Amino acid sequence: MLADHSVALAALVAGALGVAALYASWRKRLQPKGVVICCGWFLIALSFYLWMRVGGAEFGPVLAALQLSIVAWIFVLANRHVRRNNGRRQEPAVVKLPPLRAVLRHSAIFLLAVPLAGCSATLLVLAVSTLLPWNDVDRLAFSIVLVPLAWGALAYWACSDSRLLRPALGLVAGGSLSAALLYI
Amino acid sequence: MRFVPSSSLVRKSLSAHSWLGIMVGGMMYLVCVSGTLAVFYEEFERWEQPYVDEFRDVDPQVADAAFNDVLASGIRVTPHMYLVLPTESVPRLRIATEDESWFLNADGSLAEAERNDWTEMLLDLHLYLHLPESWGMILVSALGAMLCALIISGLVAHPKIFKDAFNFRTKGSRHLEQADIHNRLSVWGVPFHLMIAITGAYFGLALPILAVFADARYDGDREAVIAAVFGKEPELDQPAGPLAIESALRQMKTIAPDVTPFLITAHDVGESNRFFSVSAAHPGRMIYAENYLFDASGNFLRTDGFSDGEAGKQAVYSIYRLHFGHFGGLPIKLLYGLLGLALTVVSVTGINVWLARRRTRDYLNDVWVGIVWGVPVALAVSAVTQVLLNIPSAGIFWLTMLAATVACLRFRDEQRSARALKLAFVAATGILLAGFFIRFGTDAMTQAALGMNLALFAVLLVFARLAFRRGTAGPAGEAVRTA
Repeated sequence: MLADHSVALAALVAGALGVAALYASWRKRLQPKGVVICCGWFLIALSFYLWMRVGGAEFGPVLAALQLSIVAWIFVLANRHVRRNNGRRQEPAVVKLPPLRAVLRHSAIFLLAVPLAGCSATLLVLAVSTLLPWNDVDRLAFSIVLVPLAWGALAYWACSDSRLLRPALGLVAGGSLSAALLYI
Repeated sequence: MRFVPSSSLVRKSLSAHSWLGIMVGGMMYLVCVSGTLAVFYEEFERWEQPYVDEFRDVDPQVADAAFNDVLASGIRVTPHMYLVLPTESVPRLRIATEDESWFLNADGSLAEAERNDWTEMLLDLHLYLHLPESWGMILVSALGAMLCALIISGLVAHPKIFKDAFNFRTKGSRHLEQADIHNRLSVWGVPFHLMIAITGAYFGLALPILAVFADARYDGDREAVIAAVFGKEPELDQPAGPLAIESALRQMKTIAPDVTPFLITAHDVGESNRFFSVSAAHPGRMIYAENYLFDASGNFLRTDGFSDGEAGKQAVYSIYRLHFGHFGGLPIKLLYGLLGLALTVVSVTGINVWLARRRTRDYLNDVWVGIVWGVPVALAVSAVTQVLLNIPSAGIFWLTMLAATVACLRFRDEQRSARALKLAFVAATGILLAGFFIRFGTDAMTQAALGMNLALFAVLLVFARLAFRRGTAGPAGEAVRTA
C-alpha cells in the first residue's frame, strides 16, 4: 500500500513537472526550447507509466489524462492576463430569413454529415472489422468504439468540403463498397 | 516533419467547426450539464430520501428470506427481479421489479418504496433529452459522434495550438476572451472529451451496430450476437421452489473471495428454467461487474466471462464505469464533475464565440442566455416541486426553460436577463434547502443528505456572487467587471 502511495505521488509529481516544463518552455524561461519540450513530454509519458503501475492498464491512463488536464488548466489560470475592457455593444439587427439557396445547402450538409455519414461510418468500420483476424465479439467491440470516431471524421469531411458532391459521392461509394463486403 | 495545415484547410475546418457547433450547441449543453450532475446520481438518489435505513453488511440468510418472501407475497412479479445489495456509495438494501423498487430494513422487512423521481428526470434528460427512449438515446449517441467531429475539426482549425497553449486573456475583447476559454479548456481536455464522446455514443449506437452485424454475419439473428457478447442463458428444468440466495452468497466467498457482490438478478422468475446471477465488482478492474450464474438450488453454473473472456467483451462491459466515472469513489467523481463542467463551459463558450463574432445582435442572443442560465433555474425549480411537493418534474423543467427564454426575449438585455436568472436560481435553491430542512428535519443532516446540502449551498453562494458582480454584458450575458 505504501509503495502504491509512493508511486502515485511520483506519478503526480512527474505529470506536474512535465506540464511545468512545457509551460516554462512556452514562457521562454528555460532554454534550449527543444530539450525542455522533450523533457516535458517525457515526464508526462512517465506519469502515464507510473499511473499504470498504480492503477493498472485500465485505470492508469484515465487517471493520468485527468491529471494532465487539471494541471494544465492550473497553469493556464496562473497565466491569466487581465486586459482593459474594450467590449463593444452589438447593435440590434432586423431578423432576415436566410435565402432559400442557403437553407437548401445547410439541409444538404445536415443530411450528409448526420444520417449519411453515420450509415457510411457504421458499414465502413464493420467491413474493416471483418477483415481483422479476430473473433466476432472483438470485431463488434472494435466497431462500437470506432464508429463514433469514424462518423465524426466523415461528418467533418462533409462539413468542410466546399463541393458537397465530393463527400456525397465518397460517402455513398464507401458505404456501398462496405455493404458489398459485408453482405456478399 | 511537421504537419502544418494550410490556411485554406484551417478556414474550412473552422467553418465546419462552427457549423457543427451551431447545429448541436443547445442539445450538447443540455447533455453536458445533465451529465456533469449525473456523475453524482447515486448521491442525488440518497439525498431524495435521506431517512432510509443505511447499513453495509447484509446477512446472506436475511437477503435470502427477504427476497423469497417478497416473491411469495403476491406483488406483481416481473420476469427479472432484483435484490440490490448495499455498497460503499449507496449503503442501502433494495428489492426491485422491472418497474418498481422498495427499500428493505436491516432485518429484511419491507420498508417504503423508492422515490427518486428528480434524479430519474435528470438521468432521462442526459440519456434521452426527455424524448421517447429509443429515439432519444440514438439522438444523444449521435451527439457523441458530433462531439468527435467537433474535436477533429477544432484541432485542425487551430494551427497555433502550441503557440497558444497557455494563453488566457480576459476582459479585453469579448470574442478573444471567450475563444481563449473555449480553446484552453478544450485542447487540454481532449483526452477526456474524446473518451466521453466515444463511450457516450456507445449507449445508443451499440444496438443499431449490433443489428447490422447480425444481418451481415448471423442471418439477422440478433439474439445469437447478444448471446455471444453477453452470454447465453443456461437451459434448465427445475421444480418450483425458492431461490437459494443464501447458499450462493456463501459460495461466493470461495468462488471469488476478492470480489464484492452488489446485485442479485433473478431471471425467468416462476418458470422451470429460472436461475439467478450474482453481479460482483472486481477490485482494480474497470468492468461494471462479473456475473456469477446459479441455478434455483444454488448450484454454481458459470460466469459470463466479463472479467476473463474476450478482450472485446471486457471492453464493452467497461464502458459504463468509464463514462460515468464510477470507479474510484468520490475523488474520481469530483474530478469527472470538474472535467464535465469544463466540457459544459466549452459548449457554451463555443456558441458565445460565434455570437460575439457577429457585429449585430438579435433574438438568438436572448434565446441563448435563456437556455444557458435557464437550465440551472429549471433544475432547481423542478427539484423544489418534485422533492418537496412531489409534483412530476419533467414538465416543470421544460415550462421553466420556456419561461426563462420568453423572459430573456422580453428583456432584450443579456446582462439583465442573465442576472435575473442567476437570482432566480439563488431563490429557488434557497427555497429548496429551506424546504428540505423543514420537510426532513434532522434527516437533512444525515450522511446521505448533508454533503449534497452543503454542495447546494456552495453552488448557491457562487451564483449569488455571479449575480451581484457588476459589469458589462457578454454574448451569453456573463457579467464582466468594469474597471
